[in-house]
Amino acid sequence: MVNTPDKVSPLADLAMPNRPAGRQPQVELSERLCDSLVQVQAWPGTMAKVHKAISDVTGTRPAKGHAAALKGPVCIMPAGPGRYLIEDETENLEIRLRAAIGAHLGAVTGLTHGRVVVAIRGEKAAWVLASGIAINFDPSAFPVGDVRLTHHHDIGVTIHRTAEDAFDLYVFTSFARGFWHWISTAAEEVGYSVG
Amino acid sequence: MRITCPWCGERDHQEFTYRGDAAAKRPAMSDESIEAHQAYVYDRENPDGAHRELWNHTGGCRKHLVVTRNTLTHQITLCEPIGPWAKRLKAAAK
Amino acid sequence: MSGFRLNLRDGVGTAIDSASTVTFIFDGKSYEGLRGDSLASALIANGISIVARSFKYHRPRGIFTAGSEEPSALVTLRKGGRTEPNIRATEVELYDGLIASSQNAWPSVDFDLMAVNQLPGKAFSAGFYYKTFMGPKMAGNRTTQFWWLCEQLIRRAAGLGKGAELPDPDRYGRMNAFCDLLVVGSGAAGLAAAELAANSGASVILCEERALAGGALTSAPDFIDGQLARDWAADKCRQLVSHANVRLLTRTTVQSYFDDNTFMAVERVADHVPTPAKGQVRQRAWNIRAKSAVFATGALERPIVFPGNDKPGVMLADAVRRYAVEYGAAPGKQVVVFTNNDSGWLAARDIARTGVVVAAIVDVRPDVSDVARGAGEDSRAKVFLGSAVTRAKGFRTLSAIEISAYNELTGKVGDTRDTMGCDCLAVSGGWSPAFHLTSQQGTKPVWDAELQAFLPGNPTQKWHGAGAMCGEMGLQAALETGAAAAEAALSEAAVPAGVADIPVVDGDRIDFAPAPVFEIYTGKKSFVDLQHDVTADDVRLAHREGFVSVEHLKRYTTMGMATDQGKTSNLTGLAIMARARDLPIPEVGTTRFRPPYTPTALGAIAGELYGHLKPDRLTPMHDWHVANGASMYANGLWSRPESYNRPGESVEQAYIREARAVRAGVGLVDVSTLGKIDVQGPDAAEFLNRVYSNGFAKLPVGKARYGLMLREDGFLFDDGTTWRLDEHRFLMTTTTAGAGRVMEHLEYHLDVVWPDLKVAIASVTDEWAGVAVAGPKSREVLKACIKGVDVSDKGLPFMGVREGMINGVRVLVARLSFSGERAYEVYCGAGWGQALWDSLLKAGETFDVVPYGLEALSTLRIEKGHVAGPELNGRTTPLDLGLGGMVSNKKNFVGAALLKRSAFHEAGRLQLVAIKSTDGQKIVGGGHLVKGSLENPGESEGHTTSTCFSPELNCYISLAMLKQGTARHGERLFATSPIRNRHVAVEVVSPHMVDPEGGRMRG
Repeated sequence: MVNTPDKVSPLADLAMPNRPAGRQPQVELSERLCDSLVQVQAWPGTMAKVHKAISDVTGTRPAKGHAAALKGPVCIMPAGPGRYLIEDETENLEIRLRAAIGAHLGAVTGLTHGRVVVAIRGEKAAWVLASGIAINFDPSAFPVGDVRLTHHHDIGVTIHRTAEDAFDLYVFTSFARGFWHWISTAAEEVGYSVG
Repeated sequence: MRITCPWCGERDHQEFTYRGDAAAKRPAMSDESIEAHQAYVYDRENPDGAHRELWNHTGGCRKHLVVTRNTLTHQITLCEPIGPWAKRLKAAAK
Repeated sequence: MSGFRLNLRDGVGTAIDSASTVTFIFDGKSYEGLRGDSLASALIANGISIVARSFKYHRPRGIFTAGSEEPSALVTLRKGGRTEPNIRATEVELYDGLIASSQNAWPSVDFDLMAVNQLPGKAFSAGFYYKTFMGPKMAGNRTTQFWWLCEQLIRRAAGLGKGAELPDPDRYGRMNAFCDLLVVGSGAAGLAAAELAANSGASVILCEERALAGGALTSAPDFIDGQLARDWAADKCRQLVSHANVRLLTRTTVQSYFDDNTFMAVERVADHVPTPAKGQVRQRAWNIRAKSAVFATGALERPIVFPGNDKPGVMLADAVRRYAVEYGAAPGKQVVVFTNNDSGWLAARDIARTGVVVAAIVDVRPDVSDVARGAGEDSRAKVFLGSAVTRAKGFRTLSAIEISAYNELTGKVGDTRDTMGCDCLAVSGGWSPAFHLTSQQGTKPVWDAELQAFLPGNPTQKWHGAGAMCGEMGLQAALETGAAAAEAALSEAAVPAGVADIPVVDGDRIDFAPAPVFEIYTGKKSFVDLQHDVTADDVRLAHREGFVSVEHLKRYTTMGMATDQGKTSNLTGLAIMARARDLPIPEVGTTRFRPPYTPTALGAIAGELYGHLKPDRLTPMHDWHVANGASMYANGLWSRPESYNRPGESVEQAYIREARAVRAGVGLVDVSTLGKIDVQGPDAAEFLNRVYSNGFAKLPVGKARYGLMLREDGFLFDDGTTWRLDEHRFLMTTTTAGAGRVMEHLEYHLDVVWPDLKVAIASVTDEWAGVAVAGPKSREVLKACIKGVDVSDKGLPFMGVREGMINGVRVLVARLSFSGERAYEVYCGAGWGQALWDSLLKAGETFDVVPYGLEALSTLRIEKGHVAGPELNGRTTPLDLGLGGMVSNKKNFVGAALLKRSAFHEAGRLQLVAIKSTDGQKIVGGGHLVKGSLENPGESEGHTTSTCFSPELNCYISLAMLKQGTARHGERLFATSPIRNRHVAVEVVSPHMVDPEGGRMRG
């Protein structure tokens, strides 16, 4: 039996922890490795059943509105009407969700390899993001715990505000280096470290 | 221009992709006439003033919506959902 | 040398730090200024009067204004890659080491040889280019030919500064901002508006063009609530920025007003320092979405036009006042004020208070108000009423003026009353509200006969004017209308407004209405548009030649088309045209201002977009390709290996070697870039059956099928294989470049056309890495590494799809062939892409496996006659490409009906063929197929699409589209490209040049 090799991220060499000498960095960038990411799409008439199935598999239900539901390592993010992006530590999440959600209830798509998660935190996190993403980051318009689907420079980004000054950014894998290049360049103005 | 996506909320128009006149209706699968398809593909009113048009929120939830835009002023007076989720989105908006 | 630094004291040099000296260089010479100076005020203080030469005639020009409306004092700033031409000296904040130079003059602004442009006199009048250079090109028309020669010389002499030729080393940032209320301008009206909004709890962005907030308050002598105006303004700003909901942006010009209250403002973050700090941007473009806006942009003083009015030393009255009061820089030793309204008199008084001699005040009106008279007395100037300045004299700069009697009602100039020595003439012709932003949005201005100016007109968007911007002149009115505008704006932003506290003003109260005098006409040369050298006579010439509409006037004379968009000249030009046409001014019309308000660096607009406007996409094996000699090639957004070049090998040699190796043995190619779409749902098969022209309903699980997708108009849209993974789950692949548009095409049909279908689609392009293993030995390679899949013909037949494991990595393998050889596409999670690539390379070692790039991939498919992007070009149908067999006539599908249109079935259509070079020459892409010679090629009968050298056929080949091509195999033609001087003898053959029966890929 051969062991499954580790996933290799396109940011593996770029997102190396470092702390610049000199002035105090005002944001920290990092790559957060994600073990399992699965998209679930319900049909218009099967929402309730899909919520139940998700709950059976992950132990928690999708939250209301644009808020993410969190329980332990599980994070269920709304990603469109009847659509959720579900993150978990277990590697067989896609298989378990597909077993619970048949084609009659909805669609289950594995995206574990299709997204890279860039985390940004710090006093100036929203400032850095606002320099390239045209949504309102004011907490009154984008509360902690909420999720937004948007884009930066034609790169689709799903943004989860994990704290007032912290965001997880789910970026398409093939664009990840371009995105990292942008966010690290944008963060130079306020100073950044890589965690 | 700012467009209000029925699911994502108000965004810059750069997040959306224009898909043309919302009045164009594809003939049913049972209709194979050239005339009906010709009208669907080519015939457009091109009004000056209010125009109902399709936009895809490609930079967001990737769902279509119907935007009523004044072709003379760009003023947008209505953004409505369309598609399988339209009913639920309309209900949620109320 | 006439300007000088005044004795700085309280009220003189209010913006200047007299203790802090700054050294700067102008035209190679070092000067001293003070911290707080603008480049213009420092030049004035150093006695420099000529700072530029004019656009067309190279006339000496000085400093005309004290703000961003400056038409004359354009300089080039900095050096090397930071060189920036055409910068208004009036806007530049002085810093230590600043380097500026005059432009458009040779050898120097003081002695400019190019001023010979002045000599031909009338030659360069309005319409000069149209009349001279656009004559018919015919033999014997010697005049026109002569002028064509001259054009090159004149073009060199005319114009503005030269751009940098080195890359700009600075960074330009962007910022997206949202607010309830945007306030543009921080004068009395803007501060009053911002204060009410801030106290009401609204989120406010307040933008001020200058470094110091306060607008006109910074030099006003008035008191507000018992405080000197500038101190009141400073206090208000301090209070405002203490609110968490207020952002005050100084050095920020709101440049553009777009639809739905979207604004672009440029913040000059580091233009006032020698170079930006590490990581700091030089300028930042703010994209502001405001629920409502208050425009408190003030008014711009305009001149009165008279003979010689472009001489250095002639300035706007308020500018002279501001240089003296704010900067402690006197523009002259003998100032004369020339005005048609009371504000000129106040300027005279304020100028005199700083210690500058105001020798005279000349007013066109026969009588003036008591306030004006009092101000005149304070200034101790000699007063000339019912008079006008009829001439500015002086060799290069102003040295004297001629004052004559003037009848403001008839415009008649009478006897000369005085000729007076004077090195600075301060002119005030009234005030024009600065409604540039609302004009950008198409709001039609309305004429105000009282103010002799246009007002902004009625809002069509959510904005409110305040203060002088909407004709509410004076300090008290500014404070009142500022608060009122904010209140109206807040109700639009759905923020309940608090109660405004209007402060008490103690100061000048004057009537701003001017006498309707725009030009003093004596028949001598006077300038309307200083930046574009447009004279009053040019306007009259345009009228005589019939260019009377305002749009024609503008284009014929170029008035208002310079970088200042005629901020100080448009109305005067209109007034002169109105007089010529004997019409009231509003009937002549106005033109629309265009964004940006002031010239904007392209860097600020571009921001930090990277990757040639679109971002790059990289496959998981990208680093390996680069490390192994691949030259990378852009394919859509993707970066892909073109070929893996061994030392000394050209791209052509490399791809021929790679293609040969595939046909003889086995090769690997990275196909991760193919578009991949997950299609799921109970109606997935039905959906695919509707969007593909061939049948998909009965595709068995575990099988792939090549499909053609058409547009509804019948043309080919995209192609690719779709794999049925289980009953309700498919993996669709698309072309690399077509993935995005296919996704949108499918989304459209699911949302809009067939919303009843239960189908979900998701882009999984980035989820999967893909490697194609191709060649007769591909099966051996796969067999050596894959677990859980029987790779025999029986276990994995052509078009079969299986799941297996390769070195611990779960893979999907499909037996597909693009090359025509036995081949497999192996997919795995993108994070394991490199591991899969390594495993396949290792397994292939004993079979001499080679990695191959896009060129070899293309060569193999051209040899096989498989179509790709160049053939799927939006102008071809399946029938044209010999794929008619894939168009089902048993079902309806997207494109089915319109594909039946007769024109698609006519005999003359271009059809896919291949051509072989018969003379050994390389066939050029885009070449035409003809019967004739290079010199006389005859009619085009078709064109080449995809070309390469074929190692299999040992000659250059190409796919081509040829009229009735299917019936013409064996015919001899030429592939010609006259512009590249290429003419290749070719033979038309079947596109299936390799293994036409397909035994190799199936067996």
